[in-house]
Amino acid sequence: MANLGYDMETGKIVSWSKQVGDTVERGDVIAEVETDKTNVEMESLASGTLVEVTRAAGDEVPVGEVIGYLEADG
Amino acid sequence: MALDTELVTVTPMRAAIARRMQASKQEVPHFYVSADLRMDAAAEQVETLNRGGGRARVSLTALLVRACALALREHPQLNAVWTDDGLALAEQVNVSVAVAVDGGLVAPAVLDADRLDVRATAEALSDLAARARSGKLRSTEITDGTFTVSSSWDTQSPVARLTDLLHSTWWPVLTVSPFLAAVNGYYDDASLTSPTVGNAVFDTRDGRLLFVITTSGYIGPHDDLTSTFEPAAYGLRIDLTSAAILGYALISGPTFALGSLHLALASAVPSGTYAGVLELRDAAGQYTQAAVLMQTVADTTPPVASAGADFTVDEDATMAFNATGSTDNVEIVNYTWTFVDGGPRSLFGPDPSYVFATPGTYVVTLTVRDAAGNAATDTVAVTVRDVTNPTLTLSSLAEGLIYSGSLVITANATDNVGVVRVKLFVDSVSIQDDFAAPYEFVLAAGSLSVGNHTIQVIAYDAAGNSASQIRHVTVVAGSGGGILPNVVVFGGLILLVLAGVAGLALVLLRRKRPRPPAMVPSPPPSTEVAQGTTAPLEEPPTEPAAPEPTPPTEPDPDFDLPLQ
Repeated sequence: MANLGYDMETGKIVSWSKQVGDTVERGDVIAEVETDKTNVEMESLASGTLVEVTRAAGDEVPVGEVIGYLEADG
Repeated sequence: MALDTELVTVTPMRAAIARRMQASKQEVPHFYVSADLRMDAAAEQVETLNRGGGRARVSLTALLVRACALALREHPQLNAVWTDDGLALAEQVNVSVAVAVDGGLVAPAVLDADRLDVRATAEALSDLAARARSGKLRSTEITDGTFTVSSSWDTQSPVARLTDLLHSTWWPVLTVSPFLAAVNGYYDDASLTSPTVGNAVFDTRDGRLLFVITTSGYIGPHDDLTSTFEPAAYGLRIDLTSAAILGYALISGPTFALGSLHLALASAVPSGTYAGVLELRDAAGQYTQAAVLMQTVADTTPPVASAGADFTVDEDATMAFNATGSTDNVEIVNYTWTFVDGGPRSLFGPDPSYVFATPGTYVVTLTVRDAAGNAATDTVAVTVRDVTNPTLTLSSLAEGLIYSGSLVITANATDNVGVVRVKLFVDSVSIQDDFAAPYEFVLAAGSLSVGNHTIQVIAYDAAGNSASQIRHVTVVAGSGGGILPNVVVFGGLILLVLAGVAGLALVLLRRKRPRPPAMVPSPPPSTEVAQGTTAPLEEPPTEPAAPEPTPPTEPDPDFDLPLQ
């Protein structure tokens, strides 16, 4: 879970935009996250294939916690 | 004693804003630089860019974002954040812009703002604002801003000027307030051929005081497409005489083409300095204002004094003066009445009372002054009537005097103003007037017949007031010498006493029943005296004196008044 604000502690996954197996480009929106200020479309910081989702939609996730895994291209 | 409080739960957004504001003050090094900028050229450019319409409207905020982005590229030290490890310079120039959203504020960044021209910046801002409200902001737009512009006119907080606002990554913040060009007020007394563009003018021509904004496009915050700001501005209508706010007048929007905002005021405005305030207010409650100072010219119009009509009053009577007919274009603040009867003396106020103690004619001067010191005078003539009678005494003439020979009558007459005449009447006939003190009348021997006579002296003053004294005398035949009878030498004391008693009795009788002088017989005392004398002193009384005129027994008071 990315830190989307100076003192953000948790973010709630509203929905996943990518499914396991989808190819993800850097900058693609992978999930919609609700913070205490607003809803944000979380972008991917790398390219690859989404291979695992560890936190489901509706989960409140502490900042820094893993929500899923990308397998890098190649 | 514990303070009673009620805990109110706020929204997560408000709580976050509060935490970040607090952290901003506590953890971020602060300093402030402030400057007022003339934005005329910027405003003109915005207008030029928007001429023709069509594409997304360029806002002043877009211009500011563009300007900041260019400045940050030139000064990379500012495009940085302080960290515990040192100054971290950012490679991208991402300018965050505060955007009002439902329930608060977010500050998403225009990414790579230095690579966007003004129009693209405007489109980016519009897109950001729309997505901020719909919850579609990207996470990098939240996290990657390097500089923040906050304009208070597109916030929903009712503050005139934002001083600082902390972005989530505490980048420098540039705050912008709605601007109102300085409005320099001045007094136009018609000496100006035309008001200066851009100024507020107080115009008193035609007897009116007008608050006039004479420019267009010069004043006004400019709309921001990225906000819900509805372009509107209002002029504040102020009654300069009472400082009362008369209301708002919609000026115009969105470019605030200001026509004339005429403020009709009372025509009479005291001289002085007044402040008018022009206030611009947007739909979100943001406002800015400019004060206009006005110095009116001094009041040079003098008042008109009215002391009232001339009048006549009795001495010692209370007289009320009245200056309420006096007028001034502003207000009379001082009434001074100067009296010159007696020593000079002044009374104050519009309607003083005064008592004139001394008869005469006086001129009372009224001086009225207004607050500016202009003065005017008026006079009123007051005639004070003499209603006091003279006083009169006859020092040399005793009542009931019996005499022979001549008689001198000395009158002491005085008056509060002056005795103008003293008249002598004998048996109601005017005999003699004396016009100057000492008042003295001489009745020569033989001028009065032997017998009883009524002598009246009347003193008059110029006003016709009079005083009268009456004496009854008896003329006896005598040597023509002194008043006392010489027969004493020749007669016995007893006879003299008898004669005196008899004479007094007669006099008393006559006083009770006055008779016309013609009927007065030869007085018995004379006979007695004659009888008691060895030789007649003089020729004995023969015939009574020629009959005197027979006026009324009592003199008519109006008879032969000296000055009427």
